[in-house]
Amino acid sequence: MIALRDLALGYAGAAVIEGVSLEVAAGDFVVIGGPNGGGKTTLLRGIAGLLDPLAGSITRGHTRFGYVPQHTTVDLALPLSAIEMVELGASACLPWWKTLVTPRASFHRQALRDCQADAFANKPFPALSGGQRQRVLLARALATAPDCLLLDEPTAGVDRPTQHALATMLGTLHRSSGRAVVLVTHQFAPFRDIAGRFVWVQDGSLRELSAADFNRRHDHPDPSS
Amino acid sequence: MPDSFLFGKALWATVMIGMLLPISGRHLVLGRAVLLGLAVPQIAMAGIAFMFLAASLHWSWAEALHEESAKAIVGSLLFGLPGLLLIATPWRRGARLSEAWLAVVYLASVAATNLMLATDAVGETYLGDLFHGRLLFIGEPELKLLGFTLSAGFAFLFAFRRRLLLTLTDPDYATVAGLAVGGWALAATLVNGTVIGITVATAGPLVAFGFLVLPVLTAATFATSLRGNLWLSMLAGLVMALTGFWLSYHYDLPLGDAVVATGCAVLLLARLRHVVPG
Repeated sequence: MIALRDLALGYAGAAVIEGVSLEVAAGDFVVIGGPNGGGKTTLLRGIAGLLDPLAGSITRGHTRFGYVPQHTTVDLALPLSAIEMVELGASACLPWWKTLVTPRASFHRQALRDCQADAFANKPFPALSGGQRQRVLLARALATAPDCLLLDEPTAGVDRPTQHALATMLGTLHRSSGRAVVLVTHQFAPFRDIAGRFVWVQDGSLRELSAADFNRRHDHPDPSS
Repeated sequence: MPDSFLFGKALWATVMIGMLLPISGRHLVLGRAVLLGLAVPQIAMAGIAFMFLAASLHWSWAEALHEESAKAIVGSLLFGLPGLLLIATPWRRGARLSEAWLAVVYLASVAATNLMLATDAVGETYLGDLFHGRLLFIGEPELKLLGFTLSAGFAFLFAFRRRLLLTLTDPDYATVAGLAVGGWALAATLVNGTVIGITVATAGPLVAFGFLVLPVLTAATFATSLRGNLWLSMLAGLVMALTGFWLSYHYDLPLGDAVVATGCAVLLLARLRHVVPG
């Protein structure tokens, strides 16, 4: 589905991560962790196609991605309801002539239901809590019918019970649809029993770890390792 | 009656701009690019001044345009469209011009406009009228051109409003979802540039900027959805146009100034609703 080979990614020609290789198959649930500035988000942006490789290659095949940015990066000055946020996002993957007709309201409602967000479908997006906004952004990504979900810090800025609720919901969506999930996070605990693969990114390089090793590094990061 | 016929065209033009231009303003306001809406009309004004200068220097291609309104339209598009493309393209790619640089662009355009008019009394009078809102002098061909441009621009921006707004407000998401962000941003820039250019040439920069910004900001104090924001913007633009026109007619005030002052008053009243308890 996705294959990275000796990949280097960075900004303005300066590599943040180098020599990275990774394969993600259909149905994988991959958690990417690591210290701040280690290159986690750079890696995710590279997989998403938002950064061109400085070296190496990325193969994506015909994979359709659904991207979920951090809810804190969405402009809260936008006057839009939760359902409109989903409509807006879903319009991106339609042929241009299909945007001329009424949006597929039932499909969008279903995406909100899948993310337990239908109760606040008509509420203004800026008035929602952090956890509710994250559910709506996830529904927006699901409304594009992706093969692979890419999530950047989905549990950032929400309280601990909401972190676990979001992780459980992601696990349910993953199991029910079989679509791949790749997420970057600072909070390992909510995903410990849900994810199948754990990748640690530090000092520009990548290592795949067992859940136990990942947990150990997460709790006691060692800059020299 | 000749007078009522003249005012009829002016009224039509004011109402059309009031209802159809705010959708372009919505892109500027929601895309956090309001200063573009200030700078671009002034760049278009510099283009109009350039056309009058070229005619006064007896450049044949400029002299070939006999009507002053034709010079204004060609000059406005000649400078306004490339100006918007130059400013908006890096804007879309994230390398945004800072507010300070946009202010420099605005200042340079004002200075260039005035310098090019320094030795041309005809051009100076025309642009002076234009600045106050030249709607009362609008002719049949200009009205038709304005109507066609605003309607076509509205139709495009309304039909593709979702993906255009997504491109503006969340380009990363749009790119990952497979949208050709650059192409849609370019299309929106060309459409908005043409609409703003024609509006500046026929109604003036004050009216253009006023209708780009004030109705959308007024709507934003009430609307909690994109749908509501659009219809309320159009309603606010209509109220602004009709009330401003009535004030101008009744008290013999410059139409453009009256319309924009009305728009400011409507916006202030809308904001007071949030400030004053009860």
